[in-house]
Amino acid sequence: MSTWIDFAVYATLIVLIFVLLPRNGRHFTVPTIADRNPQWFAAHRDVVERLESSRWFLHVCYVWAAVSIAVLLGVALDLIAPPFGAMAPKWEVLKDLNGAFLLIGLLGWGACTLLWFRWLGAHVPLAETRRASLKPRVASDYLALPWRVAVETLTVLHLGAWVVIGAMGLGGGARYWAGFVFIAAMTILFAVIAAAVPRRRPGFADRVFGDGLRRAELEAACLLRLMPLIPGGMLISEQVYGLDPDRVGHLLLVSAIIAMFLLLLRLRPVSPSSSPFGAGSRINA
Amino acid sequence: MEITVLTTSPEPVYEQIVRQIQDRVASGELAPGTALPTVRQLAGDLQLNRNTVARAYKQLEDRGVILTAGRKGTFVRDNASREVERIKSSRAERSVRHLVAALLGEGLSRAEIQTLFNDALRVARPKETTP
Repeated sequence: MSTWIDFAVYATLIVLIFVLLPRNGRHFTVPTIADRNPQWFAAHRDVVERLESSRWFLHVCYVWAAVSIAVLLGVALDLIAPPFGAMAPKWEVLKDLNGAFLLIGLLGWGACTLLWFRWLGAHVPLAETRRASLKPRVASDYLALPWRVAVETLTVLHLGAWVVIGAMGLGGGARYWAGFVFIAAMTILFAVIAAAVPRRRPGFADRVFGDGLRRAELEAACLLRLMPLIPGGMLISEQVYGLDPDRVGHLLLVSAIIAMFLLLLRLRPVSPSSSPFGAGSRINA
Repeated sequence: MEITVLTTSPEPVYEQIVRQIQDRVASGELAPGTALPTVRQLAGDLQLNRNTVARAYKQLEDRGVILTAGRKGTFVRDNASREVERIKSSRAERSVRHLVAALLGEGLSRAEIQTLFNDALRVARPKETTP
């Protein structure tokens, strides 16, 4: 398999996380303040405009994306010596480099997000008048039944395949069953996480994004529940067929993560008048 | 259908929630069997502590307006509007008793109080008929 496939997948992830998501995220600065306190928002237009026109975070993200892609490209073209493990195959070097750039970038992003919310909490008091809908929210309002049925069916088929292959003697042995336990535990853990999504406490993001956030989260949770299929398939192909699926499996995982981020990228702030949730944003904004 | 709270109001926030839900039940906007949001949802949307909303729900439950059916959720009870009317009547009765006791304490006679009430009702009557 060409190294360029690995490069393309990693570059897509970097562009998505450090270019498209921050660009999209800029639209939420003003609605977030307006949601927290519309009176403060109206009284401090100068501060809001300054925040809205600020580009430093966006530029830092762009630079980080450019540096990350340039280094990956340099390694792919043999212009840069592999930083870790010169003896490792190129795809593995790209994988490790991508992981390192993502980790550092996301830590920086997390720190900036934390600072933003600290600033918000310190400078923008909560609104005195608050509104909320008296209509309860349930998962079935956001996610169609076929989606949920498909996820449950694939999960059961996946675990069933492990049991059948083990029972047929194709993949017996302690290592095989240890793999099964690992996959089953991962499936249960992700199912628990996915079940918590519709019940989680709503926050400003629900008011800013409206129904779309919960829908995107539930779709992402469905994808998360299907994630064990990738390591499950990798382990079966490795233990039963003697293949080395590490590279393909990793690329598939990254592609699934890209799909999850793409779901979030569709989110747009709802107009205050159409928000079904609480919101100070409807009062004066 | 919405609920609005004002955190700076002298009326406690949980009482504002109770009053508004009762008003919607009395007006028929919240029909018997209608599901209400969970404590967590309402608290999150109103940016309030969960205990505040839980206290309001508890009071509504104690008054027989709503019914919490475990994981199924919280619903408006079948006879909720009758309960709300009963609550309103008993609150009015309590207010009148307090007022009468206060006026008697001021030294007014029963006849004088009766006249005052009649006068007040005469003044208030046109207001009541106004839609």
